[in-house]
Amino acid sequence: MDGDRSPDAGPAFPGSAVAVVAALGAMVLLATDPLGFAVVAVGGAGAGTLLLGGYLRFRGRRLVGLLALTTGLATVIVAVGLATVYPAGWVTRVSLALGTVGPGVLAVALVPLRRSWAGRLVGFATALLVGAVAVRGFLSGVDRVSLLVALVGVVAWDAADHAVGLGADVGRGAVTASVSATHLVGSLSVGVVAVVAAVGLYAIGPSSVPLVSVVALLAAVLALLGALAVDHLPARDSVDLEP
Amino acid sequence: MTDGDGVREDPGDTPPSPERTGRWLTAVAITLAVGSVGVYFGRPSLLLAAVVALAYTAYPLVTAELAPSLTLVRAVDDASPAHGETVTVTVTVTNTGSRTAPDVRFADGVPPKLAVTEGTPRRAVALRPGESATVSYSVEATPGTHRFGPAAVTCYDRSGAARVETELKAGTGSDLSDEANELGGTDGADRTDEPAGVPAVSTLECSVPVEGVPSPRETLRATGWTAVDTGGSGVAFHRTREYRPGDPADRIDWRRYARTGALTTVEFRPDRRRSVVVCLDARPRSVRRAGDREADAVTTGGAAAAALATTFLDRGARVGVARIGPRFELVAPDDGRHHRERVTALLTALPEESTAAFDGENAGTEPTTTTGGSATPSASATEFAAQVDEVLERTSGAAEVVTVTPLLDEFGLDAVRRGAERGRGVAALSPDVTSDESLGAELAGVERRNRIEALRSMGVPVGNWRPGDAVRWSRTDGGVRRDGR
Repeated sequence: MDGDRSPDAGPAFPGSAVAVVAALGAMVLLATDPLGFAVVAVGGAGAGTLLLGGYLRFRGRRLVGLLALTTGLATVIVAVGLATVYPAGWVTRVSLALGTVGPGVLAVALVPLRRSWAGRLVGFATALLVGAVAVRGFLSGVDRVSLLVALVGVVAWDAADHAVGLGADVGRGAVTASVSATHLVGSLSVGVVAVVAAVGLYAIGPSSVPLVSVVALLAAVLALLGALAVDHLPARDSVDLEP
Repeated sequence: MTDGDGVREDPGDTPPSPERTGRWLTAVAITLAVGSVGVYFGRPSLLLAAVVALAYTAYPLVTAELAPSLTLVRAVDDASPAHGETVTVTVTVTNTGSRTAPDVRFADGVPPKLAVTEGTPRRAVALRPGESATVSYSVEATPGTHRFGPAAVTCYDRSGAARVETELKAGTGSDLSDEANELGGTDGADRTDEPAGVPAVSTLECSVPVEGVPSPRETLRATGWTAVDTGGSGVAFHRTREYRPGDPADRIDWRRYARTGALTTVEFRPDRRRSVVVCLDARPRSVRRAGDREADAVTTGGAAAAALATTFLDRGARVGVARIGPRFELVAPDDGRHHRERVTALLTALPEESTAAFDGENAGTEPTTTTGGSATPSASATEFAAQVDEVLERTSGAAEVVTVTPLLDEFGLDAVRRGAERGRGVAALSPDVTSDESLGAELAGVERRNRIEALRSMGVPVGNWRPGDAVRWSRTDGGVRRDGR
């Protein structure tokens, strides 16, 4: 049961499905016109078929599973090809291509095509999504879609990473849906609060603050949070105000 | 209800310190990457996106402190199944703390020698205070005493940034199950999935039925329950003989004297106490199995030996135990409740050496097991022979030696011979783990049968036992007394 070759080993399915859907959501946000949506749809179909193939393989339907995996992989490759020949500027093309490869790699990681690669591939897919966000933000300037793409991208990574951990701890055969749902609700609410706060601050904040100050503020907050996280000051020492 | 020992493990008493997983460091990396690009190109939208990642950096700092308090109740539908029977195990984990445990992952401690045939013993669940989660799985019983280990539980906080790993022990006895039900009731928890009236257990006892024991050869000169073939005082009639001066008057057959005028003395079978040493062959070489789903010869042999020892003890014999293997152990013949527990524990202990190297092999496909005579005797082989000698030296001459061995090599033959040479009462019980799946396996089976015949030709009673059947020594195989008397 614990052996690496056991069919029970691998990322948990509910979490994997959430991750792939979130990654596809990020792709949809990246698309700007109907043609872009078409490319995203092809990529999404490929990623979904890949995951379905993984599920069928796990359920013992090896032949159908293999067929679905091959079809899914081919579809993802076609979508990436379409993104690279997309009739627009190279920045848009790069953004779309990164956004198409990302969910594909995520699906490949969660199938998993190779178990020992699952964690690294999830990280790689996240890097691709972050790259897509960066390119998109560079492209759009003041567009707030990047916020949502960042949110959905982080949720996709979180769900995928959680699914990999769940699979390692309890296997694919175990019931994990409630845990994945609870975890998703937590991450999603943090993200929504962050997006609302960011948009609010951007709307009401003074526009005359120099960029350097904003960056300094960002760096300071990051340093503080980093210190808190690295030192892992236990909550009972710092917030234990009650006698 | 009685207060159960170890039914609950409250991490509040000895809190295992939460371990940081550091998984949200990824958010720091994303913040830095997106923020840097935003600053470099002067794009406010990217700085805003960095704020989202920044929030996730702070996420693990605001999630609740991790102090899970859980109980575990394990129930089986049959705690003493027969060989090959499927047993359904139901494990219920309850959150007895006052906080929600958002991510509880548990894996039940399935006995190492039992294969899970249906379902999975693992589950991940989010538990509100007082809430329970149940997992059901089936195992196929193999002979032996199978102890459930503690369930491995890993709890994560909501963000997954902190982790506590702990082990939950389940209670034994139905009292604990009832107690858990009461707890659940007072908490108003949803416990509809709790199996009602099923006793909680920590072991599965798949015992081996014993239908006979080898007949006694020599017994201790102490009063006991085992009848022997010498005349004397007792209750069972043995024979009559001519009166000799000095015979007690109450032994004279007065009716016969009245009828014929001749004085005869009645002799009864004296009851003598039997003393037996059950010697288990637990060498790594004997850790063989007939197939993937079968138990190995040491495990099944140990279960049979334990059943045999218990039967002897039930019949009033003094029973000693020896375990020949990498870890040699010898318990001198004795009786009593504690001794019985000690004997059973020693015989049903797991084989010392990892069976991994042997698992994939059939009993017969490993050439060294089938040609033990021709194989060069290793240092360990002489060591095991020395262990047999030690058993014979350290136990009294009156103690019979019953060797439990799969007879896959010459060791069993040699051990029995050594006992016989010293004039000890000897018998053998051989669990049959050979199969006919391949030529090599068939050869091993033939060689084993030859060894059994060799022992029987020496006058040694040999029980040829196929796991799943009852242990018996057939009358033709060296004299059996089905009732042990």
